[in-house]
Amino acid sequence: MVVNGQTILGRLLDQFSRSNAFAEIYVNASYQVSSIAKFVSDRPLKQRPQMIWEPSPMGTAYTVCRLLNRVGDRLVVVHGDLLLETESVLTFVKTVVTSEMSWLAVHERSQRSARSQVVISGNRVVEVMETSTNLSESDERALVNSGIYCFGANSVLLASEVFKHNPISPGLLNHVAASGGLIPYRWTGKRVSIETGRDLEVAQSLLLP
Amino acid sequence: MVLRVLFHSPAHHGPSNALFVDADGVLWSDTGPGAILRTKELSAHAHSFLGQVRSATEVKFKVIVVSNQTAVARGMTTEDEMVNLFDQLLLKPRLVDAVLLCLCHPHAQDSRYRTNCRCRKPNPEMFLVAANRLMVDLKESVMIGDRITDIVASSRAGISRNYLLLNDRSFELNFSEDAVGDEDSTYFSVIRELSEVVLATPSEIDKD
Repeated sequence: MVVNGQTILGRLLDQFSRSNAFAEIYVNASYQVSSIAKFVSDRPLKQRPQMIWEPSPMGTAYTVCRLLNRVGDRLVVVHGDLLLETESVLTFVKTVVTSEMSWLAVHERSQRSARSQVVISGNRVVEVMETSTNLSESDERALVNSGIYCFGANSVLLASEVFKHNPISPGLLNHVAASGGLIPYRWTGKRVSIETGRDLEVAQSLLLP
Repeated sequence: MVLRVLFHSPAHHGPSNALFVDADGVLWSDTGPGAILRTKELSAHAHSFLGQVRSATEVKFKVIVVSNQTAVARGMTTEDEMVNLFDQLLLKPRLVDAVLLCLCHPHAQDSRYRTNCRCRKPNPEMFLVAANRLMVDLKESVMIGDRITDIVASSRAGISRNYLLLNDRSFELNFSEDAVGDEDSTYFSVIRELSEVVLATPSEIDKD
């Protein structure tokens, strides 16, 4: 998908590649892997990403668990439909890559439009709740999952089969939170998740740097 | 299973890391079944690449060719001629250390080769045989293929650094013949030229 002349994936790859913080960059794909592989190979990136192809999608939680076990190191994970401000990406990366902990980026949203809520106590995420309907009709603000994570190297050492065919939120996040090792990161920069045509219009109007 | 394994003796000497390469589409153009019968020479890129790998300062890898060759099963040539071609082209000039050829095909004309065997990529058997016979550490090895089935096979064998030399047919899969397990994750880097391959072992990359 193209926003202001840039594909969302290309923008994310450029941003993370330019941060110089990662030994490896991975792109996980199940559908249209051929097009994505061609796109990645054509792109003049500072760092060549590795593709992960799952012929049958195994769920992002399971993919993350397997990758964590494979790399044996911290893993920053970003949903591929996110348009992010470059400065915010660099600040997030700078914060999390020097930490051994796991991090969950959160941002504020009115409860009226929120379908998830991140419960925080002190400086720890206690629980992530997701519902299929909005949390309430209130205009009060709630903290929600931003779709950007950093998992510590030892955060998921259990049999990852538990998470097969599940998304990252809430199961995997709550598993990490239960160990007391999930720190909230307040995402204050611009961020648009492109799921609808309206999101695309918003993203185009932002002209993100 | 009709698997031919050709190698120099003693094959277990030298580095335990291996560079595995597919033949059709990597060492020469993939012009369809029996491409080697029409080509009979390496592409200039492949010759130069293997030459560099073989140069005195770059001998860190055994070089092993793993190839599904269906021309014999299709009646296009004989097993002896196929083996001889690979021997003359790759082993005699010492460009590679070993060649493993799966000669089977599920629809072979010749019944001796008519089997959906376990050595045929995307099955990992050829890599496992090579590891056993040539004392290769698969975890520290590298694979270059031009089809996703090459990479699925090497990935299943436990090779972590895989390169897909991209062409228009790289993602063609014949699921009736080459069932790819639902549970597999396949990791690979996409390249357009052999020169993009980084010939450092995974442990060396980790140190960087």
